[in-house]
Amino acid sequence: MHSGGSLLIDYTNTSNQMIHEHIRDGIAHYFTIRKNFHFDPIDVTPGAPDWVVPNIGCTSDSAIDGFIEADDGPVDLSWLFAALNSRELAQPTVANLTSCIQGINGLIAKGRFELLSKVLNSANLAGMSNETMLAFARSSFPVRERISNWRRFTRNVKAELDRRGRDGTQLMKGLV
Amino acid sequence: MPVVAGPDGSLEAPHHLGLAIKNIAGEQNHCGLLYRLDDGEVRMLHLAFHFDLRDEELRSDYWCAPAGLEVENQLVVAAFASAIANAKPNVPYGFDANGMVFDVVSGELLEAPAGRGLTCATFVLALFRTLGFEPLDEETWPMRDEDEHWQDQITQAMTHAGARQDHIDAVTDNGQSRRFRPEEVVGTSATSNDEWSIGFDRAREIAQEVLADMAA
Repeated sequence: MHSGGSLLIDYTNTSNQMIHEHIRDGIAHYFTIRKNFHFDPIDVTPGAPDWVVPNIGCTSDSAIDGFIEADDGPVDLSWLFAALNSRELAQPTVANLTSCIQGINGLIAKGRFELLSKVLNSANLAGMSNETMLAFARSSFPVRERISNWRRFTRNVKAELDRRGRDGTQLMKGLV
Repeated sequence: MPVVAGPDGSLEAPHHLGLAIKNIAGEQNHCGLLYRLDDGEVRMLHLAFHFDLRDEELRSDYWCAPAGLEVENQLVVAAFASAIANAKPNVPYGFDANGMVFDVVSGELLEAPAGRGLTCATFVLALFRTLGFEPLDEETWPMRDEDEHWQDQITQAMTHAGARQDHIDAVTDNGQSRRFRPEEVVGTSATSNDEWSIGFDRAREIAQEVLADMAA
């Protein structure tokens, strides 16, 4: 249990739920595609029964190929898994952050402000790098009026930055 | 300590974001935003002229300075610049940039009716403003008589470059606008963001330092 209180526990649970749904849908998406293609195994154990399929590992790299099906079309959240676990990276890259910003832009492009609100407010900040948190906050800044609890999100980011020994007020200048 | 270094300046690690400026002719300078990719390549995103936004490798004739932001925020703005470059937006040239920011979705400018547009300097400001940064306190900027002649020259150049007549007419009808000069934008953006939003008088001091660096 997180010592930070129930709100953080809720964030973590909702965040995990979104990731799990994302991976589940990604795997379903993979098998949908796979049904339509003929595979030539490059290495099959002689004598193995026909039902044996290659061992498919699900890593963060492969899971991010998925989409979430929504009523108004699929939404690509492939960037989200990497973003929510970005603290594992030694050094965030421009390429990763560009992908993250383009992902958020994609939600805005589709007018999916409710989903963007959910993404921001359920993000497990403890797993995110400083830069990714800032990218979430700053790239959503122009549509902040359309995102419920955007100010609460930015306050949480500031608190998390402070908790890590960074100057949250300075890093969030212009936002809070 | 110089504000900008060069010519043949660059953007060295650990910085990911910077500014570039060079003299075009007479007192006319041109500026753009620098961002460093993961492989070390330094790109320059700049509004060259009317509907001519360019993203290209930094050339050797520019004076450069890192942006006055923490490395974390530099990375975020660099990533945003990369996203804008990928979007290849259409950016009109003009003087009345008041209130214009980028649509983060399309990379296009918001609220850009005829007559409104950006210059190379306000393009940099607009990009910062979209992410919540205000290097300048724009409200403190005065109209300067000497900028009127500059506006006339640029309007003529836009006509020669084939800008639509309704845009030219609207720019002209807007009258004189506050001008944010490249050396003012570069100088203030390169100053520590402890000082942002910088007022006009302080910005002029920093701009003089930039010009002195370039003249040395």
